[in-house]
Amino acid sequence: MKPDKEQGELENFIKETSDNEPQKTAANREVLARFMKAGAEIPPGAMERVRASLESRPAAAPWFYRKAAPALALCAVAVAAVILTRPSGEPVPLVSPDWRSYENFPYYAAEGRLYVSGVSPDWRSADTLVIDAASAYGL
Amino acid sequence: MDFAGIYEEFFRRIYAYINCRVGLQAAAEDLSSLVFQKALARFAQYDPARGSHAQWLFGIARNEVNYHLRKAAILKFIPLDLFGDIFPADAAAGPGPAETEARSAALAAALAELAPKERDLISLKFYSEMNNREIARLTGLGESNVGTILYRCMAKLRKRLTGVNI
Repeated sequence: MKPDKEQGELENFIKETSDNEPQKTAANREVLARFMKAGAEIPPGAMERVRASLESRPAAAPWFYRKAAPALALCAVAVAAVILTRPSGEPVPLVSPDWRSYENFPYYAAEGRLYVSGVSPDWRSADTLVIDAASAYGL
Repeated sequence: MDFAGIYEEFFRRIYAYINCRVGLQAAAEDLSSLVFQKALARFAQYDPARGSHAQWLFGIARNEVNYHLRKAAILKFIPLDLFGDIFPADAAAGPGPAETEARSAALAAALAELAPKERDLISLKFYSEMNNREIARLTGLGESNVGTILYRCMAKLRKRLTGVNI
């Protein structure tokens, strides 16, 4: 039942766990013998029954659902996310196509004058803000 | 080696390993059948460079036993007489089961006193005959940790089965 090289492994194990003490080594061999005897005691016919079940069973599919389930769940989540977040209908333009609609075009004249005149960038602060119709509308 | 040869060589050892861990012969036979069914299904993918036949088969067996024990714990289906008949908590308290010899009952009692991890490692050691490094790779433990656990385990078994104290 056991190849010769594996006999060496158990022999080494018996000696290592007995600290090379003769009494412990003998006790270890007794323990090993009990395990080997228990290992030889299989119910009669068990080997034949299992062999018969192997021969009668159809070839198992290489794909096991137990291992594939997480991947399938992730794919389903990804597909659902794509479908739910997909924008529907035509995109609404941010700016009205009516270019004559002046409210869509900010009037940068006042800001441009301030930039050229070297006014501090935080001109929007309440301290430096000058609200004047003439400067605001370029009059 | 073809699968038939592997089956002939390893069936008893796989069965013994599973029986040590599970403790019920019916469950051991079912699990052994599962192990070899999976091994047969994966035989074409077996790569000798990744490990020996023993490592491969006992890896499958270990996973099946762990899954079985986890399932049993989750389902809370542990028959009250499971450990009483096969793994008696105290073998000295009463007679062993009629169908097993006294030596097997004593071994079963000794195994019952081990922690699940110890039972796993010692039965792997005896029935798979892998060295500590291979067992460590299979179980995810450190090699020195495996050696320490096995050393302590053997001390307990010596004391329980032969009366030789540590």
